[in-house]
Amino acid sequence: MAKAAEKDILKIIQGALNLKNKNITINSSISNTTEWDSLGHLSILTALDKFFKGKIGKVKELAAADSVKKIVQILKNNKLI
Amino acid sequence: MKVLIEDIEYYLPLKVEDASVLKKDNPDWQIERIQERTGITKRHISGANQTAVDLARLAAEKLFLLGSHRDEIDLLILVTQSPDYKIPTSACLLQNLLRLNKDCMAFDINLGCSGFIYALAVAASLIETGTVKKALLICSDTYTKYIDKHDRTCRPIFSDGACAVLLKPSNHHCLGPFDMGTDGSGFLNLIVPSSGARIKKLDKPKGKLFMDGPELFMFTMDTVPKTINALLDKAGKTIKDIDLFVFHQASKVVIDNIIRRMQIPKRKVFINYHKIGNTVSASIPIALKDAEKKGRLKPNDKIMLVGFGVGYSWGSCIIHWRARQ
Repeated sequence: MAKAAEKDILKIIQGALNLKNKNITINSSISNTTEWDSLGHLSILTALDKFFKGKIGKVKELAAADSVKKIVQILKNNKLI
Repeated sequence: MKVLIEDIEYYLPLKVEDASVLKKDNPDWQIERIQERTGITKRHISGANQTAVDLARLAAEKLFLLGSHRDEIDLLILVTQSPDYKIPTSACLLQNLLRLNKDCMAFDINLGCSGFIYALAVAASLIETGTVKKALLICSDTYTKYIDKHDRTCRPIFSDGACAVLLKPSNHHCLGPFDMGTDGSGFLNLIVPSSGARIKKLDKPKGKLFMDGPELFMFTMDTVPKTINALLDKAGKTIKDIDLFVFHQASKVVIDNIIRRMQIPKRKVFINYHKIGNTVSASIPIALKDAEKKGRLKPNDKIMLVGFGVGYSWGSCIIHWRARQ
């Protein structure tokens, strides 16, 4: 599988939160995205795990990643993007 | 282990909460969105003066009404995290209320979602060593008493209930192997702060349940597949050999992800969280009873039970359903 890019992650988060009239950007976070509550975060983790074919379960820091920037950085640190 | 589940009965409080109740208390909640993810549409709520011991008693009395003899029971294990008192042990109160013999061993196990598996292992060991002949396990909890009515993480999920299970010796290996584990580093992620002797000035509300959903979810995604694989290895079996999986009924999002990660066919997984909610330690035996009622359990079926959660604590085992004598 080719490595995912940052734009893929934005798309995954957008889809997980089921946002139709709003775009997720690198500056999106729990504090400025209403749909991104704890259940929304579970949807994001699920979508990332599906995309990365089960590799997300071991990346425990993602549980507390409350912004797109943090998610992207953690994925980079784990060499997933 | 040559130990058999002889009978199961459960009791759920009569008061039921559905979406309309949640919406009334919390007009800003997007209930449909919450239910879509949790899969839970109804939950049972214990009365103000109804405790886990009361629910446990009602579940056990159903067993006795249906013909089980209280005089034969020489072990009572109550799995609960909602005891009537800090002291004494709730199982002692229950021994008296159920009029069990005084030569009956009785103790509590303070575990949540993994508790039924632990109680099964302890009771079956005591039966197999000949220490006791007939065990009554009761899982009973009233977590809703710990939950704030505006808590969007916990309130839509947890439900109250009790389930009583009778175990007796068998001529066949009906129970085991087991796989158990603990990781206490996660204790803060599902906790009632300052509820025991350790009173701390924490940021979290005192006396109320706190759950970090994403942390619990990540623990589950990492640990549950491991315990399933470890158990299959111990048993020398594969997923194909298991007839039915009964997981702790945590919520839809959790069970769906376990199924996906383990590639377990959906038809092999029994669920009842949608109409009962997450009853903590009682959820697995309640689901077993419902599976039996729905004709999903046949003699000699191999069933995998998997409990996981608060602690963190987890356990899994394989049972051979009512292996032919």
